[in-house]
Order: sequence, then C-alpha cells, then structure tokens
Amino acid sequence: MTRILVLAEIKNGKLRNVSFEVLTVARRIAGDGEIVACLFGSDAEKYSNELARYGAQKVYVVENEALNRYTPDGYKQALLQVIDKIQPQILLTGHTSIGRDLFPRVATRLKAGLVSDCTSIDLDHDIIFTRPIYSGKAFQKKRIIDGLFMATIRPNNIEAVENPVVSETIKLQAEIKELRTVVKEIVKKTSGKVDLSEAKIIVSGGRGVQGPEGFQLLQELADVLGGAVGASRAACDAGYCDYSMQIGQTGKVVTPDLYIACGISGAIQHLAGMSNSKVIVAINKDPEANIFHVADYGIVGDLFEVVPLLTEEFKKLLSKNNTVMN
Amino acid sequence: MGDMPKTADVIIIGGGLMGCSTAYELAKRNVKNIVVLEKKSIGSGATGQSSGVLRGHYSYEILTRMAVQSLETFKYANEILGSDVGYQPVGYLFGVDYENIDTLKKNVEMQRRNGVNTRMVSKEEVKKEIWPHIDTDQFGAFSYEPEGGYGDPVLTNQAYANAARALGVTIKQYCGVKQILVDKDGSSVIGVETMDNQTIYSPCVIVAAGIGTHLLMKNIGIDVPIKGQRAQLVYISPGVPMGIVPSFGDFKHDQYIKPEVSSGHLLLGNADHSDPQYIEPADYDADNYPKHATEKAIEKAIIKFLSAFPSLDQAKLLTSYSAAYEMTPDGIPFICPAPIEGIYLCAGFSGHGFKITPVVGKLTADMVLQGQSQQEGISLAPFRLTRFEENDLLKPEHPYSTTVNHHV
Amino acid sequence: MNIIVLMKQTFDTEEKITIQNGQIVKDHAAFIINPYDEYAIEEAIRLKEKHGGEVTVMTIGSSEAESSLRTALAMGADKAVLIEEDENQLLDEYSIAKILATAIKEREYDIILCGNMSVDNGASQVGPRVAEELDIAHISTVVKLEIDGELVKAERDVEGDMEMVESSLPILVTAQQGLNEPRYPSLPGIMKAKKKPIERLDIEDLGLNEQELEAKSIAFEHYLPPKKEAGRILTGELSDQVKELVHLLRNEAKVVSH
Repeated sequence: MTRILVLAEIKNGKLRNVSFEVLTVARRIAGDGEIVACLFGSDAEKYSNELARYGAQKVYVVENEALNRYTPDGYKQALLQVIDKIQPQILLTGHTSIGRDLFPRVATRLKAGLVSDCTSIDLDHDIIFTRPIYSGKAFQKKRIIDGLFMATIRPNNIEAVENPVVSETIKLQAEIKELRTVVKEIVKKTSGKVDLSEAKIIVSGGRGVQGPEGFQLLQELADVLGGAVGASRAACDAGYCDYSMQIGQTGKVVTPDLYIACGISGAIQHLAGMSNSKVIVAINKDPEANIFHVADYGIVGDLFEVVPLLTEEFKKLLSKNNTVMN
Repeated sequence: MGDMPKTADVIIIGGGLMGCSTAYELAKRNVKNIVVLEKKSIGSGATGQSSGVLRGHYSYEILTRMAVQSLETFKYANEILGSDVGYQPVGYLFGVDYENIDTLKKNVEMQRRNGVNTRMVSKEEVKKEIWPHIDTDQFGAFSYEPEGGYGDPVLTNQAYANAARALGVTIKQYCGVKQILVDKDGSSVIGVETMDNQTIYSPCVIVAAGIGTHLLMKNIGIDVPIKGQRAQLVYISPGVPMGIVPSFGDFKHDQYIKPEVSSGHLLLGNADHSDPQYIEPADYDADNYPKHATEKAIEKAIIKFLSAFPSLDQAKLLTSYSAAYEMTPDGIPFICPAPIEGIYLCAGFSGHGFKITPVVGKLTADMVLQGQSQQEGISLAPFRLTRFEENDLLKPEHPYSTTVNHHV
Repeated sequence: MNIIVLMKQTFDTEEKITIQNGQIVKDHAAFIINPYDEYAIEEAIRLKEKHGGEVTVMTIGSSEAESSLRTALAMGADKAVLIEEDENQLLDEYSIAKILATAIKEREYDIILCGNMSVDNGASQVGPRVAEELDIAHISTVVKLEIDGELVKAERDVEGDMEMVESSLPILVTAQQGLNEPRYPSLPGIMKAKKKPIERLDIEDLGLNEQELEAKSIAFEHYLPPKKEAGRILTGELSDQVKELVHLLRNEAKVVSH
C-alpha cells in the first residue's frame, strides 16, 4: 500500500494554504493508499483537525520547543524520525522557504531523488512530476528512478480541495540534538501584507512607477483587492522598493489569478517570473511595450491616472463584500 | 494600422535608416503612396547595431562631402525632422602613427576644403584639453573635429520614420518581402510578394535591405556582391570619471572608441579588417547570429585599449556584442539602378552608413526622380553596381598606409 | 580563509528557449554565469579581501564552461576546477552534489558559497545537498554575511522576511539576490586570468564508481508552455477603459467577484 507523508507548515499562527494544496495532490496520487501528515512545533497538535479536513488520515505531531523556529538540523532530525516510524514511499511538501531548504538535505541523507518546484504530479503508470525550467520559459516532466519519491510543490498552483476524513493524531517524542545554526531573530518585513508567492492578486510596478511614492498607489490598489505588491528588477535596482518584492528570473516566480503590471516594459527576465499568471493586465504609456504581448487586457495610459481610477472602481465593486474569488 | 495596400507608387524594402530617410525624401518631393516594408521593427537590422559615430573624417573626398552635408541634419534634427536624434557633439579625435603624419595632414586639408570643421591638434593639446588619459607619445599626430561625436541611430531612424509617416508614407513592420516580382521577360519590376503571400504592385522598388539585399536580388538573377562581416564590439567602464571625452578613431591601434555621455561608458570597436570573418547572406540569420564577441576579440580590444590608455587600469569589462556589417567588396555602398527597370539599390553601407544617412536619402530620391544626383559635388557614379567589372573603383587620394580599412 | 565557490554556466537570461526532439537546443545560445552564483563569487572575493586566503571556483560542465570560470578568475578568484561531465552519463541533483562533495573533500575549506538556485534548472537543491554530503551546516538564501573568527552571522531572505542566523565555520552558504553587487572584471584582471590555473578533472579522477553516482531522477520530456493569444488593448476615454477593465475582470476573466 502506498503511504504518502506530507510535511505541513505553520506560518504566522496558521497552517499554510500550500499544505492543503500538497494534501490535495497527495490524494490524487495515493490511490487506496494512506496519507499521513506531520507537523512540527510546540503547539502543533491544535492544527491537526484542519489537516484532516484536507484528507490527512494520520497526523504526526512533534511538539518540541527546538522546532518552533525552523532550522535545517532540527527539522531534518524530526522528519527523519517520522520517516523512520512510518516508512513512506512518497514524501511531499511545499516549495517554500522551508521545503527548498530542508528537502534536498533529507533527500541526500536518504540517497533519494527529489523533484523540486512541481506544478503538477500525475499518476500515469508511474508518477509523473511536471515542473517549470528556465523560469517558466519551458517545462519538463520527470520521474524518479528508484528509492523514495520526494517532491516539493509550487505554492498557489494547484487548487486545494477539501476532503474531510477521520483522522488520528499521534504525538511523537523526537530527540532533537545539537543545532548547528541558530535563528536569533526574525524581522517581519511582510507582516500584515499578503505573501507574494501565495497571493491570488498581484499589483506590480516597474521603472514607470518612478519612485516609492508611486508604489504607494499600487499598494492602495492591492489593498482594495486583497492582493500583494510586486516589482520588476528595474524598480528594485532604482531603489523604489525592496528586492524581496522582485518578480522575475532572478527573484520570485509567481502565478496569481490576476497580475496587474503597471509601468513595466516587459523585459524577458520579468516575463519569466509572471507570464504563467492566469490573467495579466498591463498598464503602460508606451503602446509598443513588450508587456502588451503577454497581457490579456491592456490600457495604454499613464499609470498615475489609471491606477487611482482603477482603485476607485474596484472599491465601488467590492464595497459590499470584500472577497476575491479563488 | 489598416490593411495592406494593393498598389504603391514606390515600395521600399527595409525600414532601416536608409529606407526611412529615402521614404522621407521622396515624400517631401510629393511622391504619393510610398510603402516601406520592414521585416521586423524599425531599426532592428544593421541600424540598431550601429555605433553611431559622427565624423567628417574620410580619406575619400566624396564621402567627406556626404558626411559634411549630412551633419547639418543631425545638428538641426529637431527643426528638420521634428524630433531629437541623440546628437552629442562631444568631438571627434583622430590619431595616427608616425608613418601617417603626412597623410593625415593632407586629408585634413582636403576635409577643410570641403567644409569639415577640423584641424590638426598637437599632442599637448590632446593631453591637456581633449583626453588626458591617452598616451599621446605613441601617436604621430592627431586631428580634431569639435562638431563630431555621435548620434543615436535608432532615434534617427524613428525620427525619419515619423517624419515620413507625417507626410503620408505607409510603414509596415513585421512585414518581410519574400520576393521581388518582375514581368515575364524579366526586364522590369511589377511589385513584391510579402512573406504572408500578399502582392503589392508597383513600378518602382527600392531595395534597402542590408545583407538581405543580396538574396532578394539573386532571386531575380542579379548578383549584388554584399555579404556579412562580423563586427565585434566591447563595452567597458573606464573605472574613473572622465567628464566629456570625444569619439576617438585610434588608427595607431586600428580601434575606435565611442563614449556614452549618459553613463560614462566606452564602446570599443574593431577597425582592423585585415582578417575579416565573412558570412554568406544565405547563412546569415540575425536571430541565431552570435550575440557576443569572442574571447579572442575581447582580449584584442583590451590589449589595444590598455596600450592607448595605460593609466586606465581600473577599467572594467561590462559586456560585448557581435553584429554583422553589410559589406561590399570595396566598402563603398550601392546607390544605383539595378539592371531591371524600376529596381533601385540602396544598400551595402559596410559599417559606415549612419553618418551619411541624410544625404543618402536625398541621393536615392534624386536617382529615382531625376535619374541623377542633385547634390552639389556628389556624383552617383562611384556607387554604381558595375564598377567592379569596369575596374573603376573609388580610391582615396591619400590613403593611410597601416589600415586595411574601408571605412576611412 | 579557504573559500570554495560552486558555480554553473547557464543560458543567458535573455535567450529564447527552443526545443527539438524533446530536448532544449543549446546551439547558438549565449552563456553566462548563473546570476545567483555571481553573487557567491563576489561574496567570496570580498571575504578574501577582508580576511585573506584563497578563492577556488568549481564547476561541473562541458569544456565550454571554461569561459565562465575565466570570468570568475578575472573577477578575482585564484583557482578554478572544471569537472568535465560525460555527456552519456545521466546526472541529477543527487549525483551533482555527490561529485562536488567528493571533489571538495580533497581540499581545505572554511566556507563554501554557491547560488541558492540556478536560473535554468531552478531546483535549489545542490547547495543543501552538498552540505549534507560533507556533513556541515548550511544557511540558504543569504542576503548578508559576516564572518568573525569562527563565528558566522547571516541574514536570510525567508519569503520576504529577514531571519538572523548564527553558526560557525565550516559552513555552506547559498546566495540570494541582494547579497552584493557583483563586480565587473577589470581589463587587467581579464588578462591576468588567462594565466591563472584551471584544474581539469574527469568524474573518474574522483574515484567515484558509477553506482555511487547513479541519478535518482530523470527528465524524460521537455516542452514549451502554450503560446498566449494576443490580448485586448482597450480604447476610448480613460475612465471608460477603467470601467470596462473592471467589468471584464469580473465577468469575462472571472478573477474578481463582488
């Protein structure tokens, strides 16, 4: 019987949506197999019911203070002990900061193959992993040759589908020894804002935004839409905003439902980071701007005029009920 | 943009500098219904690869005249074309080795006679006033043109395109020409067929298609000897602020240097054509042509630069690029009727077309409308296709000895 | 301080990707150093400038990768190691990490730097895998790095938040954008780099047998994403365009609801 282990994540006191997405994928490939989730941290247990709602039949919680903050050594030790206990054939997590830091180490430890940043996993005799390469300019299909199957799954790409099951929560006392890296402090730069990589709507600015004040306009639009603000490299290089907001080949690759590009010319490196968005809107003064080639809807005009109008229009639309479709 | 016209009075193949300046000149002289067909976008071919150096310095008297007359358009582009063409009068410095001092003097005399604002400058003046970082001791002599410098080829191209459009010219981008159509006995042109299989009829077709000219003409049985020659350019940052420095033809090292006023960067271009890398027009595919210079070419450029500017040892390599010149066997363009009635050539500018663009447009219009040049002191004869078989090539009166360079 | 930088030559980020027979076409492509590895090289050179020592850059690739190693040497690295891959042998991230770790084990090192991902494969695996092979700690996606004796202080970019991490040497650090501004090689540096040594190794030279290297995963198909159809440029009065856009997003694209 196939047994799939999903490493779930808590962020800012909540289970991350990507964990539900991963559970959804696990269900798709599990057949009549078993889906087990695991979760680390001293109050992990209280989240286990929610994991059951997305199909986790068992939830292993390792409640250890040493796991309240992620470290590769701590999580690796905990995960290896869970793996040892349940002997999964497939091991999945989100392609998040933790997933991409932890899974390669664990994979090498277990002499396992790992397919990173999958946008889909399908069962077709074998398990087929699909992932973007060249920052989304192409895709590849991979399979694992032998041993444990490991994969990280790109957030915000597969819709999480509820699948409530009766679940059992199992507490595991894992021994966490010497941690070679210590997290001294976490400085929240994104607090109160929607995380770019998980945002359903992104309002993004380029050099045309002309400065930090211009980005304030974009933030207002994003706030109305419940979205996040991103930027092109040109805008980051110009010092209009922080590099943590950069979308593109060197930067974040995002796939929101709606991407509104304001004053972005559409350099190929930027397109690589956003061209797989579901719907793209371009606002640019230059009718020849490359961004219009990938846009579904375009407005040729000054973003300083268009964006405030758009904010007002959306305010009117959303005033009754501020929700955004998934 | 509108639909493709079915007929035109004049079709111009190629929306680069030459095609657009010709379209503009023809429209100014009341030719109606001019259609420019550009395979990609305006300035995407050789124009976009041009370094944009502006100088009056030639050893060919006729080219000197063309450059002098053209400079007026660059200087007063706003008035003449209605928009800026990025003209930067940073000056043009020309340096030669000891062997060529006399030749330089004679050429400067010739240039002055033809109206170039140029003079010999002493090494001391170069050191003190023009570019202190040059190791002037190695050089035999220098000349200097205060009104030389550089312009922006793409802006110039756009200015011509916009000015032409304002006069009613139709410019179709992303509309390549598959073939030129001629009548049954092949004696006169009837139009062109585009890549998307549309036919436009016209009694007059001007081919300003750079390297592509060769294949278009070959298909109708005319051999126009133009082939590609790889040009390799290197971008550097001098590492120290230098203020305004001129474009510099360094013919001690066979290299030219173009400053970028906005960034302070320098473009190094090779002017040593003793070992050319040719590419046959049939093999030339701009999309798959190497985009950067070879390591060897970069190394050569560095050695030359550091030799001429030994104190700039903090200079940094930014990037390089590689393009193809549209070369004729003698480096002189074709501005001439083809041996098929109604077809005219305006191609083969061999890496030095930018600075003569305005006059080339006028000459081409003269040729089409009057059958001969109306530009004072500039005959069309040296630009004819038959000059090779007639063994009557243009020769400078005072050629430089060290360079195998067609461009000077 | 002995510093090793792991780097990879990748397609120029401006390159278009073409696929023939299920494989990416590499002819005519321009190649560059993976941009994230450039940050690693720059950081290594800065560490050397501050603490002394030697920077060795190391890559696995074809002989063409030599030009990227030369660029790193021109920037200021001291030595380069080119591990030439055998085109017939299937390598995945597991095998690549194994090869690199084996080559590193034979050398003295205090710190290993590399990019947090490559812009071509984009897997973000090799750094942490190498650290695991060597049984040393790692810190990934670093945007600031300080070393004081044995103490390592780093700031990590964690999905936009900043994590302050401490550890000690030896360590492997993966670079994130923002770590530094990589320098351009100086012209004299380029000339000097021509004389710096490049050590060439075959995978066999490392004494690994094929079994130890066997890839655990295989890519069996490559394809391009479907071409997007041309979008719609709105026209009319600006305020009408905005109203139309909101209407379209709500009713046609259905990405916003009320």
